[in-house]
Amino acid sequence: MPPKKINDDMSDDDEWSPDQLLDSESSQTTLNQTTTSKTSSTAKKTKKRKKRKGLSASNAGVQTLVASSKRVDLEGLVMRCYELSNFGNPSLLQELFTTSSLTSSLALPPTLPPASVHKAASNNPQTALSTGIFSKLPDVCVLEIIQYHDLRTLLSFSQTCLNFLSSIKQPLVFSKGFLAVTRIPVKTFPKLPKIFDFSQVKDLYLYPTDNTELHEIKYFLESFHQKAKGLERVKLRGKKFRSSTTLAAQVGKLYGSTLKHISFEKCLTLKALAEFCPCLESIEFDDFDGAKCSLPELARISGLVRQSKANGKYTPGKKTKLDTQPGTRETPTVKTLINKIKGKGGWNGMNIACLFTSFPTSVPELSNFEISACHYTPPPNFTLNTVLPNSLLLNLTLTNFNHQSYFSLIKPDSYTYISHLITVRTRSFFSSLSPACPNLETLSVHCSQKSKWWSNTDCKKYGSAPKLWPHYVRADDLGGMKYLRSVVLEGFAVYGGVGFGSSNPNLSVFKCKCLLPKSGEHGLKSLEDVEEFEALAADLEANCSSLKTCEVKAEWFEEEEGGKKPRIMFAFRHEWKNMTAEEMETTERYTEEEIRMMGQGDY
Amino acid sequence: MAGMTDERNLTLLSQEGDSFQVPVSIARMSELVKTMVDDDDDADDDEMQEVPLPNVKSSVLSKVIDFAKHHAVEPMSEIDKPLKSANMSEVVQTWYSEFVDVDQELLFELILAANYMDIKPLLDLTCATVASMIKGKTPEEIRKTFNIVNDFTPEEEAQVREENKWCEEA
Repeated sequence: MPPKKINDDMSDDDEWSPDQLLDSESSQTTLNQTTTSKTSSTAKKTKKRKKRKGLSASNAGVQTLVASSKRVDLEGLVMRCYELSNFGNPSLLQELFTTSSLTSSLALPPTLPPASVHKAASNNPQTALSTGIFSKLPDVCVLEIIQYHDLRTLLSFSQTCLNFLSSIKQPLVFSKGFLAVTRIPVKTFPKLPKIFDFSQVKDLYLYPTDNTELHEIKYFLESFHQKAKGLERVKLRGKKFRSSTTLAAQVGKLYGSTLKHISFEKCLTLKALAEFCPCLESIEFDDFDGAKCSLPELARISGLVRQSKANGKYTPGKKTKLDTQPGTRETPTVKTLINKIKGKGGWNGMNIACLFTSFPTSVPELSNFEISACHYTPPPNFTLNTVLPNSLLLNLTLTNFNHQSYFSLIKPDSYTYISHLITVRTRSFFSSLSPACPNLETLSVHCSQKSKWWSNTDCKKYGSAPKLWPHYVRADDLGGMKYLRSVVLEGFAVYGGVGFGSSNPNLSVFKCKCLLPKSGEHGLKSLEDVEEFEALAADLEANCSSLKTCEVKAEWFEEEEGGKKPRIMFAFRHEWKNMTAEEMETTERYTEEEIRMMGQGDY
Repeated sequence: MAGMTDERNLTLLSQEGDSFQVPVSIARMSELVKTMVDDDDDADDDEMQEVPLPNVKSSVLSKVIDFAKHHAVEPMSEIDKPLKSANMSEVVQTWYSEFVDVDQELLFELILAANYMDIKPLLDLTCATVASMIKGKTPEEIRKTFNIVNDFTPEEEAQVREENKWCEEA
């Protein structure tokens, strides 16, 4: 494409391009300073003309407008702009300012707050030349778009238009989010244009393909380290990171001194990595199940981290004294140690039991424990207070707190027995929570009520995958945790609320949501009814002065028809909805005696 | 009690002068509006405030208000960086993916509006959508999608292509 000249009928002396009117460097200076840019050298003008060869046709009008202003002083131009803004064609004015090199701040109405002015002033209109529809976007938006790219896309994008990169004056600083390296050979990363600045990157998400050579990854890690030395979080995925301890060790050696968080798939390589991470505060893993060394490894790693701290600058400090006054104590988090563990996996209930067992000794300062897919099927006589006596645990989140491993096998005729077990074990868990973790502040437990493990054959034989009965929890089993502020139970039917509020006076959030089968055809009956809910609500309202959110929702589903119909919804202040008196009367419930008997069941 | 919302309305004036009455609690999602409202706290409570938005067309402002209203009911999930998928329905909730299923012109107008009105979630969503339109495409496809003029000389293009050959081979 031949170079496109702007205003060909003008002599060089007469030419006054938008670029010269206010180039990016002068865009944030005063208007007087801007006038100076008009006197830039002829050579500079020639260069800029060459850069403009891709200017879109839609900009021609704007160019003409600006060019026609060449003899007008800037003050006059500004006045004209305001006239356009107020009385004329605002869109033309907007285009003028966003596509030409006039300072964008001029385009802003006088009412704009300083923050917005700053944003607009940071635009570099030169960036936009030749980039089609991107010409309408301020640089700050272009950068925002680029932040969503992985390396491969970034390269493709950077090759679309020469001016896009060459006209950028300021580095495109990647300061947030991850830099993904996926599905590309990573060895030539250093060839990335220097305009991309990774020095502020704190997160690295590395996911090389399975067939990427080990030495390529190592090479990338080294070259990336040259560009980003302050990594705080790494997320390592892929076959190589599952199996190569040398690779993990290299990550540790290169980045370990600044890493605060590691996320990985398997525990296998964690030790090799964590040895070099004295600042580590949290770890996250996808799957601790299946790796034979997982649990002992995790325990050892935690020990290693603490040991390395002890040998270095870290001195084990005294634990924060717990204030006995509700709501006024300091958070007993020892931030210099691992205080957060998040992971998922654990089809085997024994693993969960082992996990609970190993952490109190290996990470006694643990304050945040979040596990998903924790299929809690503990051995007999297993209670939390024997394995998790962690007075510093503040936040406990258990997702997929299910017994789905049973449900993957069972058929409808065995529902009753399984449901019985669920109730017993769930009660065992919750009743042991208070003595085990007396300082708990937030408790969030979710269990799915949809069976995901039925095969197609099962579905054909028995119908669609069943909705599962909720876990049953007595609210007063959760009593006695005076620092408890938030309780969220999903997939749990709650009952027995009297005494719950008075023993949890600091509660500000209480949410409970579940599905219920309409009838007890398989021997399971609903525990919920108006009285239960009202008792709980009254107790909470009377005793929890800081209660802000209280939601107890129950939906009934029609087993036979396969559909569900929302029937009960209870919210704070006794607002009953969607339940007729007749339906309430037909609600069946367990008696206290039946519940008591269930609690004594032997499994 | 938490959950208390500001039930007052204010009027947003579009570029064309059309007025949109919006609850203050919704409008305050815009940092720009929020600042202006806060600055004008002394105004008579009975008098409905007017906020001129001369850079935002009516059609765009209407969409922005839709976004803000829905966001108050169903907050948008955080968008991962980099994008996990070029399909926005796999990135955000269905409502939001359908919200940005618009022509390019409107999409870019929404970005400008989000930037101007300083609405971060909307800026995130719209920018991510543009990013999703770029993801997985070759340079030529990107040019075609966005009507970008190829300003490389043949020599320059050959050189860049050679330098980035590794990327194309992947």
